[in-house]
Amino acid sequence: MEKENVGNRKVNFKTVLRLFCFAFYISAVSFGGGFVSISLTRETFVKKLKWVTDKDMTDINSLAQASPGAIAINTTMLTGYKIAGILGAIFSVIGSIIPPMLVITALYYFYDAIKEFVFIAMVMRAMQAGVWAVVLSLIVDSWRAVIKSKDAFAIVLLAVSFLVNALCLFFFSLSVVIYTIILSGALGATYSLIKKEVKDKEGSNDIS
Amino acid sequence: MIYLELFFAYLQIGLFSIGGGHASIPVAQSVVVDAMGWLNLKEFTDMITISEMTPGPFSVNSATYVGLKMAGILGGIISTLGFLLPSVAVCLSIYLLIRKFKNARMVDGFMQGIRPAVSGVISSAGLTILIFAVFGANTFSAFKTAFSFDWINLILGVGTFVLIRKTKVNPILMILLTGIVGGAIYYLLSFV
Repeated sequence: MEKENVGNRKVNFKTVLRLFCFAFYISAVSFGGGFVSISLTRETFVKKLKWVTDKDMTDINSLAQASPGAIAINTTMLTGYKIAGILGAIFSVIGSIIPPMLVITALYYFYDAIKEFVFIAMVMRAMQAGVWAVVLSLIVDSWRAVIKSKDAFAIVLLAVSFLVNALCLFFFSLSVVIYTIILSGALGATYSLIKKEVKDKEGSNDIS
Repeated sequence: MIYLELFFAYLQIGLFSIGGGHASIPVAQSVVVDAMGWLNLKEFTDMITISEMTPGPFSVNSATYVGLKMAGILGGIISTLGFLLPSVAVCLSIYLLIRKFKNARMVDGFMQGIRPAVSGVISSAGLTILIFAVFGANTFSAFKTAFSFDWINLILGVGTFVLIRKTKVNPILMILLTGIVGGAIYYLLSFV
């Protein structure tokens, strides 16, 4: 069971240490919430390192959002688990909570001194531009992948969930993420059952 | 015992913040402000603002902050651990459970429905970040009061986007680079 998680990469202390460092970096530059961190995790582990497949990462994202807690930490934790088992999960979580804890502690004790550095605020503002550019790039990739699959069911689900979530956020400041996940999962399960039934019917027709 | 109180307060927050994003804000408010009185509403709102500007999830930021305020550095660590414990345990359990049954048709169909929907959710949240950075607001009501067009941010972002698509630069490095270059531009323009 453990071996299967790990895939065919040799898990040693170096892998775990690298996971810790990546989690640390990603967390340190993730201004603007959990979705930024999700995008960076995907960009790092799927596109650059190719340690996790695209499909596995999407499953991880789905679960991270459906579970309690912070999306960023759940995503990092499951990615770490996928790559290096329980040790990977623990070190990824530790890596990802250290930067925010350090920053808040520093702000708590030195807020008045830090406030004076206008330049820091400007760097952070400019970093937001970098963050949304990375996120936008991933949005393009994910839409392209779904459209390329030519699966009408998936394309409709993507478009509808995007529109509903965007409009609810914009007009009512309302997050409908959890309902989206439950509903789309139920639709997917129903759809796969119907598909099976149709297939079975076709199958029995062939025999007769 | 303040450490235990902090630990169990954040254990509750961790367990009941479902859906990510800002889902934990109302839960944290009801526990930290209404039930325990550790922060007043003004302090709580300030904390949300600080959290928007700093890296990391709101919940970890707030756990650290409240813990620090009530019981020093150890308090900050204990609250954060309290928040992490239930979420990490529940999330990992569901993951293992789904892996075990992933060949069952229902589970497989369920995940097939979720995958594109999650891409849609992430896209909508990503767009919100973009709109907020460029226009200074990301909801209809906030547009009326806080609208401000930041064209430097738009240019910086488009430039970064093109570089990310055309080259293979590490995205994290790219964000830091945009921060330094853009910070310098903002700084210079503030004298004009």
